[in-house]
Amino acid sequence: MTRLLSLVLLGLFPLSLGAQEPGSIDGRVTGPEGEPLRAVTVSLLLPMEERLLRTQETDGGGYYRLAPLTPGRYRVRVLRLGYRPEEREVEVIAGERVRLDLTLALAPVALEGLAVEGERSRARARFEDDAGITSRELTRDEIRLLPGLAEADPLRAVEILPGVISPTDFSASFNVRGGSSDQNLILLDGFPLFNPFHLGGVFSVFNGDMVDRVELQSGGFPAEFGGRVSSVLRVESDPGPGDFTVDGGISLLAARAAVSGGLSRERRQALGLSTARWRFSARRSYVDQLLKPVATIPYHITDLQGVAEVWSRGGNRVVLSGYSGADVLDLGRLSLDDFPLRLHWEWGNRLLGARWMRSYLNGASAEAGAGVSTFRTDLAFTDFDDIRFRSDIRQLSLFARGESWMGGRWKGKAGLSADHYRYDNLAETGGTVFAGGLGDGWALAAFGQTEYRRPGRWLVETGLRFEGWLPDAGPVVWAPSPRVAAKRFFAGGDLAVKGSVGRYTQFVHSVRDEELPLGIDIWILAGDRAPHVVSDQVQVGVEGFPGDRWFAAADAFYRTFDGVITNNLADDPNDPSDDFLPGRGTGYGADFYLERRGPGPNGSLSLSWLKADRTFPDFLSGAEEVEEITYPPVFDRRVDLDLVVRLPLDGGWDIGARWHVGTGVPYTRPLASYAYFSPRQTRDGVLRWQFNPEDEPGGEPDDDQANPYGVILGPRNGERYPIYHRLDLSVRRTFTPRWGTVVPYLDVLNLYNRTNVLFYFYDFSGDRPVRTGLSMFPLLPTFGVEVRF
Amino acid sequence: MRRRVQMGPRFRTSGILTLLAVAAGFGAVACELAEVTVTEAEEVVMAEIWFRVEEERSNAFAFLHRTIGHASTPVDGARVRVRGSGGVVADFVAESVGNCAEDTFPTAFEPSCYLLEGAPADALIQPGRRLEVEVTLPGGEGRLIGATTIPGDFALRVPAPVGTCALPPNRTLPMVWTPAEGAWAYLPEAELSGIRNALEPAGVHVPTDPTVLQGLAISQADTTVVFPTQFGIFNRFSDEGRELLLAIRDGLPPGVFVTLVVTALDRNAANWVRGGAFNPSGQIRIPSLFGDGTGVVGSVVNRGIQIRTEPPGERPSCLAAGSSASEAP
Repeated sequence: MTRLLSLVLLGLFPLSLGAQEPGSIDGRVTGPEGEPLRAVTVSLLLPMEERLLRTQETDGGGYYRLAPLTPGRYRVRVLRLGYRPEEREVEVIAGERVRLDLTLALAPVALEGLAVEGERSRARARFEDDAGITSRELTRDEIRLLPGLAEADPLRAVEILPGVISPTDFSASFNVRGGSSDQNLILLDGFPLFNPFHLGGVFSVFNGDMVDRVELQSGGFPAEFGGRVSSVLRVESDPGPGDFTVDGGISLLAARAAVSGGLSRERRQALGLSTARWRFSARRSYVDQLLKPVATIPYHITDLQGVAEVWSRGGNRVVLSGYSGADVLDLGRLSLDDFPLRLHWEWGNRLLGARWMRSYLNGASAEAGAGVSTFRTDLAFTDFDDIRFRSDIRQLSLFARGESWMGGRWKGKAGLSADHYRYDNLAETGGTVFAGGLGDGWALAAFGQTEYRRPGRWLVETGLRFEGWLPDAGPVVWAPSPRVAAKRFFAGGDLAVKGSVGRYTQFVHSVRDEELPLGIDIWILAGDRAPHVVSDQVQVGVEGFPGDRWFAAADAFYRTFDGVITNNLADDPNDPSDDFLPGRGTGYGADFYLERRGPGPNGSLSLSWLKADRTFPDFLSGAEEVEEITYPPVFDRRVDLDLVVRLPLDGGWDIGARWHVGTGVPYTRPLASYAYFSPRQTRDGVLRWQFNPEDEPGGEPDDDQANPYGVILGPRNGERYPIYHRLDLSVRRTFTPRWGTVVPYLDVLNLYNRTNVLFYFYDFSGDRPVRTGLSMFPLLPTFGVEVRF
Repeated sequence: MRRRVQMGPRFRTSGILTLLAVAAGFGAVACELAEVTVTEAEEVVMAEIWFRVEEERSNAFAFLHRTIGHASTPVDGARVRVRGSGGVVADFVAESVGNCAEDTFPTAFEPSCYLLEGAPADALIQPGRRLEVEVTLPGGEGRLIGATTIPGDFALRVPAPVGTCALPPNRTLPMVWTPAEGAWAYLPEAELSGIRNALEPAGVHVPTDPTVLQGLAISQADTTVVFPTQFGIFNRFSDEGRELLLAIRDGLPPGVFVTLVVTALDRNAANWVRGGAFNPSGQIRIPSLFGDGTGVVGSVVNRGIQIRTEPPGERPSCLAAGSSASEAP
């Protein structure tokens, strides 16, 4: 650790390492009306060669900066789909900055080649600008072409990325590189969502029409990242083109519509804005309404999402994001003959956030934001008002950060953040509180990060994140988290070897049992009831562009997780501090990723190898002095392979296919069962078999009856289910009537109807011991239609 | 589809949310796997040893049996020995099974029963005592060991422990008792006799009479429960249970006789009753007997009262608090 700190300090105080002072090119790209153009590909080439030396995208203000550059003559090429490309030749002089502003003219004919270049440049920009982080991105079109359960799901889509495990078909929840699912930070436009799933995890809350892109960062995070230790999933909303458009769709799950628009040119001018655009969407399941005349369906989901983006003429950008979603299960609407349990259960997220961003001509940029995110679940029983189940968590976020070139090859980045968390959980029935908790805390963080860049050769990032956790009850935590990453480029900048090491901390936990394939996260905070998580991580990798449209990467990683918790089902009710047991874990493995993007057939291959374990006190042992056990968690899928192919065909046809293969996940096998008796104190304490056939008409136990047998378990997660594999197919056809586009699609999950095991049930009570079980998805066709005008 | 996701009387029920979601999700698309014969179940000796402190006597029994598939072989000839903190030792005596359990068992089930009663029981089984147990299995099968600490003594305050009291019809009874030192939970249990006839005029079908309903109070300090409103919490999710509980939530009809026992559970009893982690094949119990078998050595302290639903008159009212003299030391 001393060496690590030395490296960080070295990085924070830049030394003069270059012999000749480099120069730079920067400027701003605007449209014909002076509006800033973001995501414009700015490429650097030598005067007489076509080989790209550097590529970069303009930021939200249209700014770009190519630096540091060896003095000499270059060509700067600027491309963006829908605009006429521009090219300039410039001379870079040692120690000087060349200002190059460009205005692009509209070129309404979409040129396929330009689009290809743009897509490639995004991956290329990450490759060139990020030293250690492992980041993979999926665009909206890629997500749509993945066969989905009813409709495109951005969270399920990340399962195809390397290092990502999803133990069951039933949940869109995922695990990354040996981390538990609560260690993934899921951000919508930069603000966290706690439980972004419908139906206990089957679908995510994200409407595919609203998503611009999804980016999964699975390791090697620099100092600016905090909050979770395993991964960051960024979901970026698309504020639309600024004109009135409607994207709609209907699937077996829901009907949805996203409407976009913007202010007219006159109004923008009157308000001093260069851009003002917005996009709002609504989604609702409709089966309950459709079947209303013939049946009562007591469940529905709703999602409302919006994003608005405003640019001032001075280059200030403000983005407002909002989301509100709910699942509603109202069994009280059913006839008592159909269902005896009358309950009303609602859960959902709410989010509201605002971000301000500004870029400056010298390549500096600043960003600040504030937001609030809540998740709440509330279960009420119509007949028994003394049953209360609820779980709330709320996070208020404030942050500010900025970055700037510090001279020469050095760039600095710093920021501050303050997050206030509050949770309130309660499970109460019959006048007794079964479980509960209430608390709050402040998470404060400051970070500083430097970047040393020697184009085509080295990229080194060093940083220090200093975090504080101030809970309302429990120890205050001050945690310095150093991070170092380095990347060495070879082969003219097309190949790189990278490595990173860092420490990460997390102050929130979900106590959901991940061995259940579905469920809702119940969140608690670190404090007097639970420790905070500290994760030390190291990764090394190699990545590069072996061909024009190909990208390949391989990473190996090792992670520790100290301070993870598990529910203590043998807790002492007289001791409020032992509800959760602290433990630790490790995860190590390797990921390989091969991707082809561009016209024609494209797709990806992900291959992951993982070995994960968790160590906790063995509360199931019943011993007064509890010993620890180490076991593989349910997400310890050793080998996971995802092959994705997207095939555009003539006549508007698109075919997408995904083949997923995974070795079996662990489970705990019962070794035997026994008749379970319980004492009856009103009858002199004698035991009574849980199943007494005299009490039951017909003498047969039914599903509602308590299980009359207990089981004796073998080693914890000592067995594994059989290998998992499944082929999914998506067929889409795009029609383009004059008024817009119509895309009917057919998705087929598990095309060859593989029986993948979800659970085994062992039954020892018959003439012979038997094993039955439940499968995951069988052959499952779904269909729908998307419309845009 | 046959579901095996079960709920028992567990203390931690936040999993209900999860289990409801599981049931809903699986009901949609999961399919049952083909049945496969598996290897023979392991033979394990199960021992359920319960120490009980009653108002005027104490006793204990050990109920020994084997796992399913081997349960037709009784565990006869075992030695069950208890040792108190003062070095006092007593052996359980083999008795007929009816002394340990009601005689409704699974097919081919042959348990064995051992009792500890009388003076040795009274000497050893006292509130607050720690008892060590050793079960030596017959035929050199090995031994099991465990220990329990009996909860401290406690007393009912409302109703006063007067034998039989009168509860006005359609009135609830907020019960209160003193804390039992070291108790992990209280399991109030009520056996309702005459409830079937009493509710028949209201059109409520009660399948069994007498009917047993349980409440729950978790932790040593939780010493209240409302009768009958907060009883039957494990029966609320069944059709017949719901109908009965709704009919009596504001009180019992006239003509019902209730035997009501408040049971203080020690750590081991609570762990055995509430169950452990989720497993789709059945309930998991947290044991307190270790060695060549598994099981529970639990201890309980019982305090009871009998109630008749009738207007106060010749019997004292259940709603009256007990005097300080009736409290535990």
